[in-house]
Amino acid sequence: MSTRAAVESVRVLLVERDETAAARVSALLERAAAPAFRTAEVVPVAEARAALAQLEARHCDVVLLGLSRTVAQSGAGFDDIHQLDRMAPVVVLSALDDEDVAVRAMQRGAQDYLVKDRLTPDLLARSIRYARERHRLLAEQTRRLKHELKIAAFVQQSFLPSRMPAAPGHDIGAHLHASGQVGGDFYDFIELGGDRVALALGDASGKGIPGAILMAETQGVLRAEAAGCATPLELVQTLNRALLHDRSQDRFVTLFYGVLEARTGEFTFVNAGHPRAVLEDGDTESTLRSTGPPLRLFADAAWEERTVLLRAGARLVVYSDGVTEAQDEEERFFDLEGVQAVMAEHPDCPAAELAKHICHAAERFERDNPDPGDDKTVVVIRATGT
Amino acid sequence: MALRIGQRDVGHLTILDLRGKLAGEAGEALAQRIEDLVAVGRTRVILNLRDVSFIDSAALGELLSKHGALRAAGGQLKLLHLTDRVWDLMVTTKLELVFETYRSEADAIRSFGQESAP
Repeated sequence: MSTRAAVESVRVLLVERDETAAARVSALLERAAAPAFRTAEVVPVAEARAALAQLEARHCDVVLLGLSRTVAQSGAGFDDIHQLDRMAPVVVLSALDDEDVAVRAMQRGAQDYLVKDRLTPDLLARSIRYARERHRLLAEQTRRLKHELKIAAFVQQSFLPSRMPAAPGHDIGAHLHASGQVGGDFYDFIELGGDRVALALGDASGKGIPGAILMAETQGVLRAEAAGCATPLELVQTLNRALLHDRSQDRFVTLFYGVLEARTGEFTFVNAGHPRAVLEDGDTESTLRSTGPPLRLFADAAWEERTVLLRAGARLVVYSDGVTEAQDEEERFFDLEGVQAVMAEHPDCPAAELAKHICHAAERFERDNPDPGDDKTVVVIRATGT
Repeated sequence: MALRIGQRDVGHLTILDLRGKLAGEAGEALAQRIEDLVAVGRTRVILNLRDVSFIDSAALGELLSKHGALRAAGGQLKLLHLTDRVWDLMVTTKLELVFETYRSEADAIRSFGQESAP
């Protein structure tokens, strides 16, 4: 006998091929209804496909999914649980009394696993009520999480510079395309005074929240320390020390960090495990390869600092690996060749436009690949000379 | 394409033959498989990467973490048959200095020494 007052009505979708079993469950529900629910409406269907159609058409509080002994044993009905669970809580009514099968059903999303022979009105009513309550709580948690992710994405967007830095004789632009709501890519510009501009493009490993938190920490330290460091090397070393304060070794940051002397066109950089950048100067093209490991891996890491000259007309393109590792449906990579092709296609394009073109081309390239792509970020410096 | 993991036991060594992309959740699946090996005392592991087209940064992080875990358990993680792209990633991140890498399975097996012989 239920101890809870009969306050709610319930609509139950009963998926049962065996008509006798269906009639039995309906009868049990009818007996359960009087003490447990105000009314209990049973919508009977013979198979999961019909159940999905019903759920599309109308709301049901709970799905009771009947499984025969053979189906339960083979695990064939478990895919149905997963599909149905997206729309309503699923309680399995099985002819098979087997703990392992029950656990597998629960792992696929079932709220409860009841053995048909042992059903009582009270047991059934309680299981339905709990299933409905758990499902409601889960939906509420999911809604809240999605809301918080939206806020996180908004906060993350606000980390990006709101305007491009002033660097006489240079046109600087950037574009970031996030693959999910929050991601691990970032870029930043810091005006260091005396026509010196720092450029940073980083990629924190790991997608979603962990990547986003590491990215935020990296960018925070970078902004705080950039002006106080005399050279890019000093900044990278400082940043590495700061990020290493907790020693879990499975997350790291690749970073391309350089300082442009706008008056001379000298660009001094450290590439900490980041993909090579492209420097195009007239007909010659060179790549600015990694000069040391990513950040947050090794306390004793060493980086080399290099200087190149951006002469009038030169273009420097820095990108994250989400660009070159974009894959089409045949699993070909966008690669450096993809970046170079877009650069060739737009020889006189403003920096911000070129950054956008490269990101968009990589996105288009992977459009038909069902696997989700990674964040894509491009920073471009054009030495205009004027 | 999801990652497929085949397992071969050679004496005390375990060779995991990987096929597909080592990216996203595949990195976690591989990490779990290595943890399962550690749990049963199999701590000398060779990853055969011949059919791995690419490794993302999250999966690389998992490899590093498991490299440390296997060492702590008295074993080691070594890499075999890196494709050009994966080798390029190792060079870019300078992790070619952290992982032992081999072009020949026989050399990889021999590198673990006599104790690993069947």
